[in-house]
Amino acid sequence: MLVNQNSIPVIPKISFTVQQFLVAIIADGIKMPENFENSQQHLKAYCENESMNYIVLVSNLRLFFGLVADYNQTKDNVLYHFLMLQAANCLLDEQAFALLPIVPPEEICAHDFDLFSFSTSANHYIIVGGHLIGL
Amino acid sequence: MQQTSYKAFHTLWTKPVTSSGNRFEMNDAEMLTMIVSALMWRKYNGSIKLYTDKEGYDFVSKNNLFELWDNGIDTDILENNCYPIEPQVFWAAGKLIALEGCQTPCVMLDTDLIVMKPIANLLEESVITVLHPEALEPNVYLSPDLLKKPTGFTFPDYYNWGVLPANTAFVYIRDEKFKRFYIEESKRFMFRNNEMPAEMVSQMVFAEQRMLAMCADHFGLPVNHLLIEPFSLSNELVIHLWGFKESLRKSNNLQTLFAKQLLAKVIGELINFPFFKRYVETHYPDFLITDNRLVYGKLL
Repeated sequence: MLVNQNSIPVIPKISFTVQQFLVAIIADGIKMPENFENSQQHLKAYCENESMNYIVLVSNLRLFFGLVADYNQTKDNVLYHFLMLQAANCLLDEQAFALLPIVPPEEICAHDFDLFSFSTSANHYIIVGGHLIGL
Repeated sequence: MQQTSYKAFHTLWTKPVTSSGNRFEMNDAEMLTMIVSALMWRKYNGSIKLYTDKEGYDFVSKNNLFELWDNGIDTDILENNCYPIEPQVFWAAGKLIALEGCQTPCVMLDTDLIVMKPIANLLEESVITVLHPEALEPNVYLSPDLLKKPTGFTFPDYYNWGVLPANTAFVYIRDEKFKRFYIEESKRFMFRNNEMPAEMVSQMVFAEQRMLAMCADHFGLPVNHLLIEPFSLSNELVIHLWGFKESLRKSNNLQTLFAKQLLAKVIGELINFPFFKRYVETHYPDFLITDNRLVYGKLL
C-alpha cells in the first residue's frame, strides 16, 4: 500500500448490525447515489442508538462517495489508498471495505513500498510527512 | 529565552504558467498549504516575505492574502529583471532570482512545504541547510554530456559530479559570498539555455539542486539536512506536498480530505491568527471551529 497502514484511523467500536447497515447503504449509494438521501432517516436512528455523531458521519459519507466517483474515473492507486482512509472515517474496517463494490487498481504496487526508503525529484504522488496529518 | 528569528521567503513566479498563455491559479489544497506554510513559519521560526510578479500580485489581491506575509510583498525583483531565462525550461528560476535579491542569512521556503516545529537549534550552527539529499537518479540528474547547455558553455573542472544533490524545497544560507557564487553559477547555466529537455526536469534540477551541492563542495562547506530520508515515519518536522500535488489536481474530493486532515492538525496552533480563522470560516464552511478544535460536518 502507498502509505503506512498506521495512518488508517482507529475506528470507534460500533455494533455488527450498524456496520452491516453502513455497508449496505454505502454499497447501494455507490451504485445508485440518489438512494443515499433516502437512507438517512434510518442512519440517523442508528446514530442516536449508538451515540454516534450523525452530522459528522453523513459529511464523511458524502466525501467518501465523492472519492469513489473520482476513483472510478481514474483508477488511481493513490486515490484508492485515500478511499480506504476515508472508509475508516465512515466507521468501516478493512473487512467491511472489502465488501463494497469497488474494484482495486490493477497493480497495488509492491514497488510503492520502495518510496519509503529514498527518493528523488521524480514525482512520487505522495506527501513527505503525510503521517503527521494522518495521511 | 527569546528564540532566534529567521527571515524566510516564499516565491510565486507565474511566468512558467502565463508565458504559455495560461492564467495562474492554485487549487484549494495548494492555497491552504501555502497559508499554513507561512503561518507555521511565523509561529515558530520568524518572519516571511513574498517575492512575486504582477500576475502573482493580482492573484494575492484577488484572494485577499496580503496579511499572510508579515515581512511584506516584493514585486520589483521578479517583475523588473530582464534575465534571458526560458520559464518553461527553468520553471523554478524565480526562486533563485528572489534568493539573489534576498540578504543572507535567509530561508528559501517552497509554498508547498510546512515546517511544523521550531528549527533554530538546527540552523544556528549551520552555514547551509537544505530539506534532504537526493539520490543521483540518472534519468533526472543527467550526466554532463547529456545535459542541454547554452551555446559555448563548459562545465568547470571543479564541479564534483559525485556529490548528492540537495532538495531545495527548503534552503537556509548564512554565507553571502557562497550565495552569490551559487546564484552566479546557476545563472550562467540558465541564461539562453532554451532547449526543452526531453524529460522536462533535468536542466532545472541541475541549476537549482545539483548546483547548490556542487558549489558547497567547491567552497568546502558542509550541507546539513532537515531530513535524511524524506519518507521516513520518523520525520516529525516537515510536510511537503511535492508530487502529491498531481494527485490533488485529479480530485477535488481528495483536496477536501487533505484539507480536513491538515486543518485538524494545525487549527489549535494557528487559530490565534485572525487571518487564519477568517480564512477557514470563509473557505471551509463545512468545518466548525469549537474550542480551538475542528469539527467536520457543520452544514448539512
